[in-house]
Amino acid sequence: MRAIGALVWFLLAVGLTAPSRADSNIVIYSAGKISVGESRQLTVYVPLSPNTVTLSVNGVPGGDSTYGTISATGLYQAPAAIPAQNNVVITAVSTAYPAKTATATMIVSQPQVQLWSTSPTTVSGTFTLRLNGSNFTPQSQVKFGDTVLTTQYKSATSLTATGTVSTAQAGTKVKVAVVNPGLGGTTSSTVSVTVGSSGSGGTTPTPTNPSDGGGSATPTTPTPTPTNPSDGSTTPPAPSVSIRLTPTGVTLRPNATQQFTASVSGSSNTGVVYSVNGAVGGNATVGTITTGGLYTAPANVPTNRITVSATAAASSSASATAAVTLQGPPNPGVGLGTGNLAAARFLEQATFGPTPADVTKLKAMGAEAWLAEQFNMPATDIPLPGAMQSGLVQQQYLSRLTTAPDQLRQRVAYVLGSIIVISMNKNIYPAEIVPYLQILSRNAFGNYRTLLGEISVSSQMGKYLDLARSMKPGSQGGTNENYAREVMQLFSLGLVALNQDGSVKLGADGKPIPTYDQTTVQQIALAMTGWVYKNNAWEDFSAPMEPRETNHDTRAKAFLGCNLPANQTTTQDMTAALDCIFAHPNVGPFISTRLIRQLVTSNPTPEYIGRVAAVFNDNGAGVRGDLKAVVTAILTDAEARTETPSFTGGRLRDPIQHVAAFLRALNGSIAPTNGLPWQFSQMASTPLTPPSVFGYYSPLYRIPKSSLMGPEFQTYTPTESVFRGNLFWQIISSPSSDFTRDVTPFVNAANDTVALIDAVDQTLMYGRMPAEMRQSLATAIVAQSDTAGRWQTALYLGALSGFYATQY
Amino acid sequence: MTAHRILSRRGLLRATGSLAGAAALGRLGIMNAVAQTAPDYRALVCIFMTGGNDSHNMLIPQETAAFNAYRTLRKGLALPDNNTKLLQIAAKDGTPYALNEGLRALAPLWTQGKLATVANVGMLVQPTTRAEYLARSIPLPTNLFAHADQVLQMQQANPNGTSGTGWAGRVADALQPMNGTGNFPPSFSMNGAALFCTGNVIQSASLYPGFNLGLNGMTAWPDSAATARQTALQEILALDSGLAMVQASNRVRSDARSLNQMLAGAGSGRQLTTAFPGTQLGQQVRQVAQIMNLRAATGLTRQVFFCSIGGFDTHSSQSWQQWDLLGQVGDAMAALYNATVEMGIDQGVVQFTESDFGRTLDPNGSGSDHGWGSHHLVLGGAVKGGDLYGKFPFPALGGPDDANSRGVLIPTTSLDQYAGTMAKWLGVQPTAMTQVFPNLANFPTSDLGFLG
Repeated sequence: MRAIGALVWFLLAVGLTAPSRADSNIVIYSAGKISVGESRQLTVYVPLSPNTVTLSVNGVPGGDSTYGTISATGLYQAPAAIPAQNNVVITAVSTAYPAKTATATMIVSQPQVQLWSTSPTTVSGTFTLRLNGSNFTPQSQVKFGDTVLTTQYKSATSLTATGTVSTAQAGTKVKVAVVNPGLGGTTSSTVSVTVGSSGSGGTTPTPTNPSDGGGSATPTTPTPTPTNPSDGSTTPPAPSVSIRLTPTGVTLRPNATQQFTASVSGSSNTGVVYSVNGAVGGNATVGTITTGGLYTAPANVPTNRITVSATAAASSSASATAAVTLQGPPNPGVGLGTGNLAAARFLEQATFGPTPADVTKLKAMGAEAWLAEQFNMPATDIPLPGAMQSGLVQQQYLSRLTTAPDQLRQRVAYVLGSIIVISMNKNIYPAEIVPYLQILSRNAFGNYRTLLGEISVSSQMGKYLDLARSMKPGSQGGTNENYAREVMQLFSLGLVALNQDGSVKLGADGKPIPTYDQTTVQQIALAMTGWVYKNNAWEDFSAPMEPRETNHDTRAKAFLGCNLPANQTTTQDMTAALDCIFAHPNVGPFISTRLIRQLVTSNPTPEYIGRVAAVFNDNGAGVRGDLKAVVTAILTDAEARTETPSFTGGRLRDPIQHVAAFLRALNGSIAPTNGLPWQFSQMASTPLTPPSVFGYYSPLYRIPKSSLMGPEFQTYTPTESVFRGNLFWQIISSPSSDFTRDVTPFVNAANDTVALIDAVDQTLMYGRMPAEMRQSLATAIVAQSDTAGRWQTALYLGALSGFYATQY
Repeated sequence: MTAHRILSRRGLLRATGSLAGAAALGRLGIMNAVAQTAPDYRALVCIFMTGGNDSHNMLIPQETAAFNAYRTLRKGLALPDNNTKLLQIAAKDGTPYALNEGLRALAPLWTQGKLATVANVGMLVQPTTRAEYLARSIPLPTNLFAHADQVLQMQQANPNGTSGTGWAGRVADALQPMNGTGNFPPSFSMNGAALFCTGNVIQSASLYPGFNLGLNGMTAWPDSAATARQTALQEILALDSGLAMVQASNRVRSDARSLNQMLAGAGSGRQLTTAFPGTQLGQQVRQVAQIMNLRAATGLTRQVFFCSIGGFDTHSSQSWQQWDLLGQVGDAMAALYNATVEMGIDQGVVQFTESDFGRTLDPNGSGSDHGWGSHHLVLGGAVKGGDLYGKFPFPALGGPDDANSRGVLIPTTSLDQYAGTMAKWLGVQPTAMTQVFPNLANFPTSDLGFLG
């Protein structure tokens, strides 16, 4: 989990969720584990005016070299060495209100040690292993199972280790890991080494299948360091200036950083100029390097080789180079997928999962025609069951997601429902939720402003966020601010001002700019007073809310740079308030980011967000908020369509998406009446019943102990993963009236191990199953005692794999 | 970064024991065996009484005037009655109270100074008087008296219900540095996912008592076939995909395997001898004890737990129902307390109750209606027990503590103060407290003093 230093800045790209009393608390975001020498931009949210703070590290303003430094704008630079106490406390104190403070803890760690592969991959007797990886140190220890091997440090990317297999290990696979011990130490993930039966002896590398793990077993060959500036015969006597650059070669993941150190001898001028492939400071294609030698690898693997060079300021002829080998994500498959991959990936993002027929169809008609067909398809009816049949609402909803032909509409409406939330934990009866689903469906390809308008006056939202019967101050009941706040925080703007690429906009003081304050909330709440249920009933969900002028506050209102004159009607004020909110520049990047996260990737690049936000702002015909254009832009963007997996790409499927995709892949569906809502409730995903207006999970949740966004991981806990797995097993092994599925292709292939693995690979991974996983499957399949055991094992293991839990 | 390498505990003692008679084994002997490492460990356990507990009948005033007023106003609900006796207790200042006889298992712990009550706790934005409430002249929690909203607010410590996190989750966020770098979740719900446990940063987890975290479909005949499936799954989950999302999702599934092994170990090798009730809540707190018992293996020093029991929405037929439900609560809390003594961590574990809201003093036939403020229980070795904290209201309709005319208590202690006291004890620093409890600063005291 490395190579993310350079990504930190875009993690600031979306509105930050602050505690509710956003008007009084300082919050420091982005704290956590950090490697020595790395830097991280922290965001300090200061909802105070003035919003200046003093930042300190362990009580020292600005910090120091022992515990790291922090700039006035929140850039924390970890110390070069692990401090004796490696939990470092960052404190922000308001300069205006010294009682207002916030703290956050940075845990300074050694660079995460990585193990990519071993050579050989099979050992026996007394053996010597060569290990490829990164961030190895002279203290690194190789663990072979539970045994620590005699380890020899070769370079930061290479170790050798010797040991002897035990008799108990013969014929098994042993996990090998590298441990960097000590304070802030790290342990690599493991690589399996097969132990042959003893007797073959020696260290002869056993030829095995080509490993997928990082591909090359060949260590990087560093270019010999030319320390000799030796074409000096035609020039005046060269001063004997020389320069040394370390390390001389390194293998990095995209976006990873590496500190280079150059030492100049033979001159009092020790200045150094760093360049990458001849460009001083480098560039985005080959990576950048600071004047201090901190190299940041590019996001993508370039076609040409990368050479970092350091040239002495004292003599341009004194230079040294280091080779950088950029290791992309290891090739995840024996191939790069099959001919179905492009279509299947598209359908993963645009539907509730590719069915075999949909893949064939999309391949035949192309994405453009498919999108056009989907946009023009009539919306699947959403019936309103009888008053007490709330369970049926959930059951039919699940069924529709897997059966409706207007799959794109289903998927987009599902996403919109994660942004604009109503929950059946409060709106418990069918009439309190179904019309809301109809609004989402009807507007999925419409205009976001229209959607906001219909939602705002819907009696369903009126109940859920309390706008119904919100009255001018002084009257019984009073003004309710809930909707006014959430329509901004969650449905349109977010908490902080954004640039069009989704990054947080900083004020002159270097701090995020709150999009609104409590006064804004109050003013909008007043503008939205006067809405009551039909005929001013206690509750009535048969129609939208209606205006009741005697309840409406008719004073003039001012917010977000808009001015609403006095004496407007309830409807006029609502329209003006929503128009004002909708015109705010945050809406494009805010909504685009949410949509991209739910459809394509949890960690989009700012460029991707920017391209989509531009379409949100103007669909090309001068229309703002055209969801059809926005969805098209998201799904057809190069970043969505690239088939080369990126380290940070993709997203975790939520439980409903995951199960729906599995059934659809098996040509199946969820039945119109079913017991699945209960099963989803055990996975923290009760259909249509998120726990709060924030939805099932926070859109800002990060993968634990990582700076990568992974919203769906907030509810993907060990227990939920087991329930999800058990449901897969039920689908595979126990046909039920809850769902349909067709496993014929697997049954038919069951007696041919390779064909069976191919079937699983084709159905779930579109040809991207890694070779090592195929090997694991094969071993498990052949160990089964009957045909059913074989195909069920293969399909189940495929479904349980992380390769199927994610869209990538 | 494989999770939980601490798992490979071996040589587990297989307890012979049936649970019966466990208490008779003698706590000291057990403590010597189990509590050899009792470093700094602290945990909070919330017992959430869903539906709105009628605390007017959980803690009853016994001073003559107050008890007479109580009996008059409660009419048919007044205790004692045919179902429920009263258990006499007294605060440190001598003021007599009584506990509902359902709490029989807890009454001795009051005498031992381990159990305290906190009077009239509820959601507030800021201190609120009857006049202010009636005039709506200050900010109030939204949708008072409504289950869905109040359950959320009590779990979030947010008077608008507008938070994606629970207060215990935020407490765990704030304490993350104290929990080291292990992967074991510090925040557990024992009744499925609960917002109470959700933090911004930490991974929360949920369990269902008795639910086996072993995946279905992993058994087969012969054993070698099952082993091959298990091995293949392990290999697949350990595969270095080079893709962050794939790796992270595999890690969750690996964690489930690890957690299952740990819990299986807890259930066999280091089984607690404390007997737990067979009730649903009893099994939840048993699971809490089992996880606490893993503390040496997980390395966690700060944890939060959520348990819940439903059925408190007693609009009718309240008397027997509430006696029965409080019996389940009291028995479960007492059992967990005993287990913490057995583990030698009773000084580090605090149990406390929460509920949607209290109920009306004025009955509605055989039941009561939705209220606001409510008395609560706090139990643990670190509790300065045998005493009442906060201000106990004199029973009156339309009195200074009544939000209307039916004895709906306007809380005199906010949830933020109640929870904040426990969060502070758990280790949340003053500077972080406002992030966890945004409204705490609105109240005169942030520490009610019942822990220390």
